[in-house]
Amino acid sequence: MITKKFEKHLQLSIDWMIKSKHPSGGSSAYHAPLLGWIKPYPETTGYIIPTLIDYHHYAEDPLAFRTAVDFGEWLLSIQSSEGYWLAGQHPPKKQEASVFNTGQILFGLISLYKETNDSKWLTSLDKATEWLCSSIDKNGYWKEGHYRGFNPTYYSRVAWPILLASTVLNIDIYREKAILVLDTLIKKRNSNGSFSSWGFDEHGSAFTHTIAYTLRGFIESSILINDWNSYGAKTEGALQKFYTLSELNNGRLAGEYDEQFSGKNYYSCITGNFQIALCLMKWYEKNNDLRLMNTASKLIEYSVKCQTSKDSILSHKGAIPGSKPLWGRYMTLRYPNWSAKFCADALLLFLKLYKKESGQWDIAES
Amino acid sequence: MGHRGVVITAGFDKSESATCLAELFKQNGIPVNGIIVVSPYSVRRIKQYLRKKGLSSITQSIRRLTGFQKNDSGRTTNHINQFRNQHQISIDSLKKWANINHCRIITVTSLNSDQSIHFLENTDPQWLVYSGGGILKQPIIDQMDGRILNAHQGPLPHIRGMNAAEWSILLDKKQEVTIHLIDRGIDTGMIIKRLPYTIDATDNIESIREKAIINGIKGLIEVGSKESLERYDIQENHSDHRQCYILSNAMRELLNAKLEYLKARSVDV
Repeated sequence: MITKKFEKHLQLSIDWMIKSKHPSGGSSAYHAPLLGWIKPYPETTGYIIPTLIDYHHYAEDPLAFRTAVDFGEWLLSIQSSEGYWLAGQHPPKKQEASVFNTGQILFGLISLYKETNDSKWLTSLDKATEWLCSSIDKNGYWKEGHYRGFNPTYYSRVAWPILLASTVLNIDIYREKAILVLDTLIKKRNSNGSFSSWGFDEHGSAFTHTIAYTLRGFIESSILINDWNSYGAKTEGALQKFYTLSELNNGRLAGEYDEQFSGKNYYSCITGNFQIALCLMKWYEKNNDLRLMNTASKLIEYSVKCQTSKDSILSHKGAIPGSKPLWGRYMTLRYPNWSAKFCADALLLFLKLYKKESGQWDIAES
Repeated sequence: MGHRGVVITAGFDKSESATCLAELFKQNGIPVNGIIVVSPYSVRRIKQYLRKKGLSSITQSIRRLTGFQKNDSGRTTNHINQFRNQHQISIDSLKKWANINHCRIITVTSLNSDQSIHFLENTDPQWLVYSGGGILKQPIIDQMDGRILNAHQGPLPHIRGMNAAEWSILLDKKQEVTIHLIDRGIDTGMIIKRLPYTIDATDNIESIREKAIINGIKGLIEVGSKESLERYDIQENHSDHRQCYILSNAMRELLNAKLEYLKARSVDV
C-alpha cells in the first residue's frame, strides 16, 4: 500500500526534525557527516512549525506539537525589537536583517496563533509583518535585507505569508503591500513560462528549490486572494514544463534549470523535487487533473528513496539530503532540515489528496 | 491501381499484436511487404527504458520480450489468446512468420534509422502499420508521406500518450481505441476511426488492455486493408490536452480501487 509506505517516510521525517532541536533552541540548519548537527536556523525553524503542527493533526503526536511550540518560543526570544530576524544561522556572523527569513518565520507564528490562540504569537507576528511592509518601497521592492543584494523573484514566498498575516491580523495595508510586491515580481515572467531572477543569483540557473519557492508563492497568494488569473495562472507554463520533465525522467528533476529550462542533470535537488511535487498538487487541487498527482507521486517516490533508513556515523535515520548524489551542488554533503520539512509537507498533502480521491472508490465505505 | 501492401513495425520479435497483424493482413489478402523489428537490446533503448520506467519493471519486460507474459492473474480470460485461437494464429515469432511466408524482415536499432527508411523505399507499402518500436521522427513520416497508421488505446484527443486505457478509466473518459494517422506530435494525427469497447465484471487492468489491443488490431486491419481513407469521416486531432505518462504506483493502486468499485456497482465504464 502506497499510503503505508508514505506514512512510514513521513514519520521518519518528523522524528528527524524533532531530533534536529538544538540545545540552544530552534532547529539545527543541517546535519553533516563529521560536522554533526550545526547551529539552528531561524528561517527554517519558522516554517518547520506548521509542518509539525500539521503532523500533530494527522497523527496525534504531542511531541511534534510540543517541539513546534518550543521552536516558536525560541524564535520569540531572538526577534529584534524592530520586528525582524537576522540573516543566516543563529547566532549570526553579521547583524543583518533578513526579509526572506523574517517572511518564513511568519508561517510559524501564524500556525502557533491559530493553534493556541495565545496573543504573544500575534504580537510578534504584527511586529514582524509591520517591519516587512514598512520596508517595501513604492515600486514593490525591498531596499535591503537581501541574501545576495537583489530582490529575487522567490520573494513571492514572502508576499504569501504577508497575505496570510493580513488575514489573521485583519490589517488591509499588509494585503495591499503584498499585492504590490506580487505585481512587481510577476513581471519577471518570461514568455516561455520561466521567471528571471528566481535563483540565489540574479542571472543564470536556479536550483529547483528556489524555483519552487517562486511558483508556490504565486500559487498560494492567488488562492488566498481568490484570483487565480493574476498570479497562479502565470505559473502554469512552468508547472507544465516541470510536469513533462518529471515524467520523462521517472520522477527525477535536474538539480537546477536556466531560464530556457535547460537542466544540470548530474544531480537532483531532493528538496526541490518535493517542493515541485507540492506545487503540482496545489495545481491539481485547482483543476482536478489526476495526471498531476501521478507526477507528484513519482517525484515523491524518487526522492523518499534518498531518506536515510538507519542511524550511522554519516547521518541519522530519517535524514533527507540536499542533493542526490550527496555530493551534488545543492547543500553538498549535507542533510538540511528543510529537506525533511518539504518531504513531510509533500507527504502530508499527498496523503490528504490521495485519501480523498481513493475514498470515492472505497467499496466498504460507500 | 491496387493495394500496394503493408509494412508492419514491432518493438520485439515476439510481439503478439504484430504477429496477429501480419497473419490477419495475409488472411485478408493484403500483402505484407515487410516487417521492421526494433532490437530491444540496444544500449540506447535499455537506457531510455530504465530512465522512463525504472529498474523494477525490468523483470516484467524480460517476460514480455521472451513471450512469457501472460494474463496470469488466474481470474480472467486471456482475450488475446482467445482472439488468436479464433483466427487460428499459433505462430509467436515475427521472424518465424516472415520465414514461412517469404516476407522481408529487418532488425534495426531504431525505427528512425537510415536502414528503416531504405527498407520502406524498397518495399514501397500503401501503409506503414505501427505496432511498436518507439517514437517516429520526421524523416520516416516524410518517407511514408504521412501514410502511417496507429491504434491508440484511448479516446483522442482527450487521452494522449501512454497507458491510455488506464487513464481513460481514471479520467472518466470513454473506453475506446482510436485509429489515427501518425504525425510529428504524440498521438496528434488525423482521427480515422473509433472502436469502443466495454468493461465487464470479470475484467482487470490486464484484460482491459488486452481488449484494447484486440480492438486496435481489428481497426488497423480494417483501415490498413483499404487503399485510401475516402470512406471514413476523418476528424481533426490536436494536442491541447495534457499528455499522459506511465502510471505511478500510487495511481495504479487508485485505478485498481476505482475499477473494483465500478465493477461492484455495475456502473457502465
